[in-house]
Amino acid sequence: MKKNLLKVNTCCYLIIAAYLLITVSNAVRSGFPWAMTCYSCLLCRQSCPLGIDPHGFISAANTDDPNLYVTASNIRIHLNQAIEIDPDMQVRFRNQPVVKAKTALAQGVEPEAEVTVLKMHAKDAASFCPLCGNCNKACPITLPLMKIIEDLKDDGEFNG
Amino acid sequence: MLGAISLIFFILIMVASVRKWVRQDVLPLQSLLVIGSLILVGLSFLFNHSFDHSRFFAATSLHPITATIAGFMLAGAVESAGGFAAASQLLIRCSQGFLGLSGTVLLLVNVPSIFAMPCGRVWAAALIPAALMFGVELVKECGNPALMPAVVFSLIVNAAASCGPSPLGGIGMIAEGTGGFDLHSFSNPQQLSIMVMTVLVMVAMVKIVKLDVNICGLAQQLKARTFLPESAYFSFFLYVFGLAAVFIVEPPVPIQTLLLLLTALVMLVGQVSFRRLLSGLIIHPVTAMVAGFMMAGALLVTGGFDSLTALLNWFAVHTWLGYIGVAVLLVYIPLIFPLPCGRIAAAALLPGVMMFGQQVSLITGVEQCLPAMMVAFILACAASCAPSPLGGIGGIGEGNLRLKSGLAGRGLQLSILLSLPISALIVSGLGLSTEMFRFAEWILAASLGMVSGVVVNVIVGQRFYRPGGIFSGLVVAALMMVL
Repeated sequence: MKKNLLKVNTCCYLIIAAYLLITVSNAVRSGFPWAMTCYSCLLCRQSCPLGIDPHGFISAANTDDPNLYVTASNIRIHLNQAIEIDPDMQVRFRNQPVVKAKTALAQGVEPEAEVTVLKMHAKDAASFCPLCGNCNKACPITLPLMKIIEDLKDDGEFNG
Repeated sequence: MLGAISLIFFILIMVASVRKWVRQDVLPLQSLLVIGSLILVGLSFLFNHSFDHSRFFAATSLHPITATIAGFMLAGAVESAGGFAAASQLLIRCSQGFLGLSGTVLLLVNVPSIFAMPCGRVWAAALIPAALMFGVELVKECGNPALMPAVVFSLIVNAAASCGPSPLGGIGMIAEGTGGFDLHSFSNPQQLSIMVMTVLVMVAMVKIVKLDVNICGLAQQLKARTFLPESAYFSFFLYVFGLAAVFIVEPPVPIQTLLLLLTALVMLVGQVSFRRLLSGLIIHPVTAMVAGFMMAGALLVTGGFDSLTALLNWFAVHTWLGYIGVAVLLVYIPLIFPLPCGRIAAAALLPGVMMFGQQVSLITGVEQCLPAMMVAFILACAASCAPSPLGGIGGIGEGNLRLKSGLAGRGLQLSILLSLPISALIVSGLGLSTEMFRFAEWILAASLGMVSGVVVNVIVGQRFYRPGGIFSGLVVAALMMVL
């Protein structure tokens, strides 16, 4: 390998190392470093009665970002509630295509109409969580997912 | 628009690496993926597309990366303690008993999928040295030099595919979780197909690919590496029984912790220094995985995967392929573009596979189409890291056998191509189940085990009905069903 290419390639490998370091440090900063041990097997997805993806909370902890969007399938609220919480929340009204809450309003959906939430911030999903503990039980290595949810429920921030 | 550009860019990068338009000594895959990710991030700013840095980092799964590192540490410790030299001696003694050469070979090459780890490299790194030493003895006994690559590459493909059915965070669990299927319901169909895949690789290496290996040179080099301190056998037993115990008991502790504990034990028993341990760590697959996840993150953020799904949909609706044709293509995409870690393709394409699987189920009226497609796809992802020319496990085998890079790829890909439909047929014929004792499944497993035993008997040059080989095949099948 030529000298210049050695420098370029070494830089690229250093970027890879930095990327890994940033990923690890984000998890540590959130106060939930054990989130890194998640297998990403997604078995917890089947367990939530509200259809919230518990793995989304793990991702949010791993990236130290309570505003990371997580998926849901069974949360139904009024459109005006959705806009108040997050105008960019992805919702579906009856059989219409999935749009942002503010777009649904602009398209003429009544503010009092019931919509199904399909994507919301992790901190908002935590506020809806009934804390049933099903996700904890579904985890093959029994990670305490509820701790992340309880933390976010408090003030919407990671306090560890 | 941005999504389509990023998808095209990604495909160009992959093809450029695979076809060696950009040589690996100029820009290895890792550098290409890093530069590609940075370009995509730059493009998202250029197109005024909001760049969600959290989603970019969230695409990375640390589990396979840390499992690979921990596995290499353990394998490095056992290697330094002489454990694998001890293993080859044990294999030679085993081959002189009832099992014979064919039975021992069949048992050896199927160990990774019996005790499946979340990354096949954990077993591959460990057993390849033992397979090499045993292979030299095997060639001496049988006089067929093609047996050496047959043993090594069948072990490699078995190890590669084993991360699919692994209950310790294998790729199959991702599909089970995503699709809402029962835990471990995908394991048996995968393991049985892997058994067939392994034997097919042996046949391909002996009858079709016929690689020219310098056995004498290898034998001399391996002789120089063989030393057996007192603790060697104990280190090896600690390794095997430790991993088997973890696998059977499945404690609710991350596998990485257990691998580290085992490493510390082996270091103590074998008096292995930390420096020697570090020398066994192979950085390449780890960096390839991280770079792959970086690119996956960039594609996610720029909408590349959404474009792929839209494209496949378009093909399904507007071409003669239809949904069924595109579904088959989708299942084989990981094999067409084999990446160094199957999880990258699995994470990216699984939603698309689910969507197509549901469509195919609707069109055909056969409910099992969705799980059948998902199992075949997961197996393709898992096994694809064997033939990957971008730092796949096959490269480790080629390096150890002093072969030119890429020679074994076609044989590996052919075997995987032929065995994927078997997993789909098992699911569509027998359905999914987590029961340990299903009569039909056991009959199938026993039949496949017997056929494997017969084929390996013939490959090794023994009588086809030699009981050792057939018994070994039955034992392998039984262990796969039970564990």
